[in-house]
Amino acid sequence: MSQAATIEAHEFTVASEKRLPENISTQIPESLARLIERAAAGDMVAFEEIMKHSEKRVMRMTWRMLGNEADARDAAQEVFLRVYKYLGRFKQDQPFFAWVYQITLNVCRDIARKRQQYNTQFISLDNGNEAASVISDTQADAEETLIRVQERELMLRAIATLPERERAAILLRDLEGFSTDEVAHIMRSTATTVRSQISSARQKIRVYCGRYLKKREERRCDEL
Amino acid sequence: MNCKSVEPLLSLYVGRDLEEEESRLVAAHLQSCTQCSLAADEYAWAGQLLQEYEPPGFSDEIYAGIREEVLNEIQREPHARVWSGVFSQLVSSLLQPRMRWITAALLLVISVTALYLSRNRSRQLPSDREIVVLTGQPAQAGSGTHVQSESSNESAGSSSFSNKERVAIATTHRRNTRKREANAGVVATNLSRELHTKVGPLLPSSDPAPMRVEIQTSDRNIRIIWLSGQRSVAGGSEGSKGL
Repeated sequence: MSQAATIEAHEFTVASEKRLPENISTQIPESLARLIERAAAGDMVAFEEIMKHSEKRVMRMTWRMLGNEADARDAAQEVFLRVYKYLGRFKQDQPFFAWVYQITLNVCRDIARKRQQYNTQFISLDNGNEAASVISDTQADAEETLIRVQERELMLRAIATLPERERAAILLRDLEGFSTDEVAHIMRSTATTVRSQISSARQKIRVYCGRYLKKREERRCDEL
Repeated sequence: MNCKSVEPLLSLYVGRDLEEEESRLVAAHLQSCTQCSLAADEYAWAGQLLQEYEPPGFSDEIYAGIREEVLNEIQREPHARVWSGVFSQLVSSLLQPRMRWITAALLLVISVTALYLSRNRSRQLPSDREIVVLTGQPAQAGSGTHVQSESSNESAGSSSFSNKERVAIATTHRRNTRKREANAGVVATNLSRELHTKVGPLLPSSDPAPMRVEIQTSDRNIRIIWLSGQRSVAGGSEGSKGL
């Protein structure tokens, strides 16, 4: 690959990484602040609104942390129960969703410890079902989509190999779009530690995926 | 920058986590180094793969089910959760890095206090076996020295008491309680014999006063009284025992 192509690839990564989600905002919208106040006072309708407002993020994060739908659902329920329980202590001058992510990480850690078979359960059945549905696409696209599914599964396995803290750090930084400082705040750690965890996680993923890539190339060579 | 210093920065460079100056230096190195450039490509590829790591689309029914379960759970046990929440919050706050020293100090104070109280309590507890030996004339028994010993009763008895003195021997043994209770009477009996042998020679033969020895065993209902002196019946034993 030429130097120009290399730089382009880097630029692409940066561009995709810049796809920051809406949850970065540290200022709570006034409507949300009112909902929080009402929910903290025991208004269940307001709390339901808060759940609707944050359920997608919570489910996304729990699924990414735990790797399957059943655990993700259980975790999401527990997250909202804890949010309700501690809502009275939430200070409005801090970012609400960062606080929710804090709870989410704690819940995911608790569930993962309870299950004990974390790594074996991480490879979910969800992907198998999806793979089956993908294979039923047109024959022309089948190979490409199959590769995509394989790559996704590869990433699932790669993430499963990461220690919990590194996994949380890289998911929050690279997928949820938080800055390093925000990740440090959520993980109750320092920016330096988080940077180190992110770096380590990226290196491990690169090595894991690199090994897979090599195997795939070798297999192609054998077939030819 | 050389390859050795660039390599650990590559993952951060690709993720845009470096400071501007460092990032500029790494970019300059990548333009001149194929090996590092390839490594950066691999990071970029892995980063793209990571972006594909999206959960499947969850249906509205799933979200509605979660909300319903949460609301039901909240209404089911509001009080229990509040208390468990307070407790868990307290524990978690005590385990926070800022609070660790305070927690450690609290634990230290609590353990020292507990140790102090337990030692004091053990001192105040009545001794497992208390034997009071009264010797001398019954009329003068109250006017003597009072000696306590924590060593064995035999040694205390042989070294501390004298005629016409009141000797109190308190022993504390913390061995098997059953064994102690079973042996209590035997020890008392042995002691009385020993007292008899020790005290006897000390008594002047011309002393007309009778000698009285009282031995209180661990059982308060049992007191051994041994009398000796001129009142003894001829041909009989020198003393008598009463329980």
